Amino acid sequence: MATSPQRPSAQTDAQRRANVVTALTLASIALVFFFGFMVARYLGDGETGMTVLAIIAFIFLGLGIGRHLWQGRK
Amino acid sequence: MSSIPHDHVHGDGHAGHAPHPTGLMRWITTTNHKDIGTLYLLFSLFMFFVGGVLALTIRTELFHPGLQVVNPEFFNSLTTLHGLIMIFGAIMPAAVGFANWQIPMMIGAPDMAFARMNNWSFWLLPPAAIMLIGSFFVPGGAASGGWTLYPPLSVQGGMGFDLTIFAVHIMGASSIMGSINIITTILNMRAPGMTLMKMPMFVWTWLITAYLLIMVMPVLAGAVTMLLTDRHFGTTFFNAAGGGDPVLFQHVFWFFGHPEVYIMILPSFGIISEIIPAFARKPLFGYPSMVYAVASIAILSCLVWAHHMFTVGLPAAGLLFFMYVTMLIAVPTGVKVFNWLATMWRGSMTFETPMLFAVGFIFLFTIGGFTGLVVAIVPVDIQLQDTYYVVAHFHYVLVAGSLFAFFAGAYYWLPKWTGTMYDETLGKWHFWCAMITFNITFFPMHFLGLAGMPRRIPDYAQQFTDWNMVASIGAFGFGLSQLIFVWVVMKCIRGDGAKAPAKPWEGAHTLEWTLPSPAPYHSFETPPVVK
Ligand code: HEM
Ligand SMILES: [Cu+2]
Repeated sequence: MATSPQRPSAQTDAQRRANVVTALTLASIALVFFFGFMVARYLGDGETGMTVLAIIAFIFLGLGIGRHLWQGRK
Repeated sequence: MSSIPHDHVHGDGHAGHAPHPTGLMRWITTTNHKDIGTLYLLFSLFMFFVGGVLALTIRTELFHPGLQVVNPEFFNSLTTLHGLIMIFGAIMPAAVGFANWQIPMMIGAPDMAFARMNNWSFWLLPPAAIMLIGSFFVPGGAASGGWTLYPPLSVQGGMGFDLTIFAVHIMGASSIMGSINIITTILNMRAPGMTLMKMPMFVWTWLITAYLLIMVMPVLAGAVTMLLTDRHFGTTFFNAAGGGDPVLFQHVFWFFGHPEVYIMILPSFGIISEIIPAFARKPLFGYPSMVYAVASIAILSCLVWAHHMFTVGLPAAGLLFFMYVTMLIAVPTGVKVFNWLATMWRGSMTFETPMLFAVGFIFLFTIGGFTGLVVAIVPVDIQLQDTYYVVAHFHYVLVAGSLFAFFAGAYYWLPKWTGTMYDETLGKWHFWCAMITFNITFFPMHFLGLAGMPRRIPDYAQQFTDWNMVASIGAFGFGLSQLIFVWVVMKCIRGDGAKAPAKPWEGAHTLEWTLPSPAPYHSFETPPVVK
């Protein structure tokens, strides 16, 4: 994921590749959230499932959004 | 799911464009962020009126105690579909419409990162809407368990539930694709010099909202998938008869549901954060703290879901945890309200329609935030849960919050979108009519709730009659006021009004105002340089 934005007038190959990498990363996170709870439900009881879900979500948001805040400081 | 935007690799701002189709085909095949933004906004306006008709039918039934207009089953379908249509059909698509129009222009990008996927994201919505509205006409009628789709009703109900579940799947897929597009655009396509901390607040709020969407829409899709397998494939996730746990559905649903309310309010915070500085002619007070506040609201929002479940019998430690974390969210929210007020403080303010709606937003949203704190207190919520007090709370934050902010944003950007100034007199009429009738409709619901009137009930005890009559009269007034808005928008689209200059608001400083009005079909193909 490019951190310093630089973009020629139309999308270059490099840029397109960066975009696809970002998109696939995000899509795979979405898939984890889709199946994650069902798997957790099969492995343990509902409470375990919810606790795991909340912790994963907290980490995901903390890292995802936190990373941009960190970059923003500079 | 990802599509590569090879349709968008055309030259350098002139000549090189392939001619784009006209008429209906233009709208069906468009990959242009402005066209798609327009489609989203018009779709949401249409759904707003569909949901509004359902609401007015509810208010007609509730004008008097007793059953007079609809039967109880149909009444339940009305409340269910009103909620689903307003949330997934009106508020969320409107926010995405604003994102499509504004984010590329505000960060100096030529378009969204994935232009074709963008087209798909929109065109998934009309079929979902047809399923939702069409479900009224299938055997058994539309879903009737409330927009929250709790089992056992949602496991036992008729075909309307299946259509609703599919509609939720489709709209969820649309939202996920939309958020992937938005995050990628913001991260990878900013103009040189547009560092993260120089981005307009609206862009920040959408970046964070998109993260929330990617986290919770799959969870909702998973939850309704489990409902579906419980209904048709013999699983027993939530079916108590087979050893399943109906309360578990509530946990999963609200794990989606609470972040969802922030998904609906954060883009509105962004719009308000653009408008207040423009009309106070001062930079936004405490920009970094605004960014941190939005981020902390989003991160905390995944730890508060059970405040919707204080009456299901959670352990005391759980009640305390969810109560305190819920209250904690009021702190960053307070930071935002404080900063908006501090931005206005000693500004040279003028009160054109966007600013009126923005100030109305701050005033009424804060009331909604306070009633949220009231119901966050466990012992109080045990009284108020499932009463009209909760209905009052969430309409103050969603109607006077999200919706008013969208009106503010629409008036603010209509000149840029259409090239025509909106009619200021009509705009002011719209604001005052909406402001007054909104409060006539929803303020009495606090009294009704405190007095114990339950929500989602077609009939009620005699002593609730007076305030219900007031609320119903207000509701029709509120519905009629919205026709003024349609009139204003139509005038702008037809070009009936003063020609808009490139920058009609002297205090506005974001990049879109450097473009002519209306914004050209292709903008910023040569990126601007931000200093
Ligand atoms: C200060 C911030 C807020 C707090 C402390 C808060 C707290 C609460 C609590 C405790 C409930 C559950 C009440 C019950 O069912 O007994 C609730 C319901 C609700 N809130 Fe909030 N809230 C806040 C802000 C918001 C915002 C910003 C929105 C949306 C934009 C929102 C939308 C809703 C909705 C839709 C419901 C009802 C859901 C349903 O049962 O159908 N709230 N809120
Ligand atoms: Cu909540």
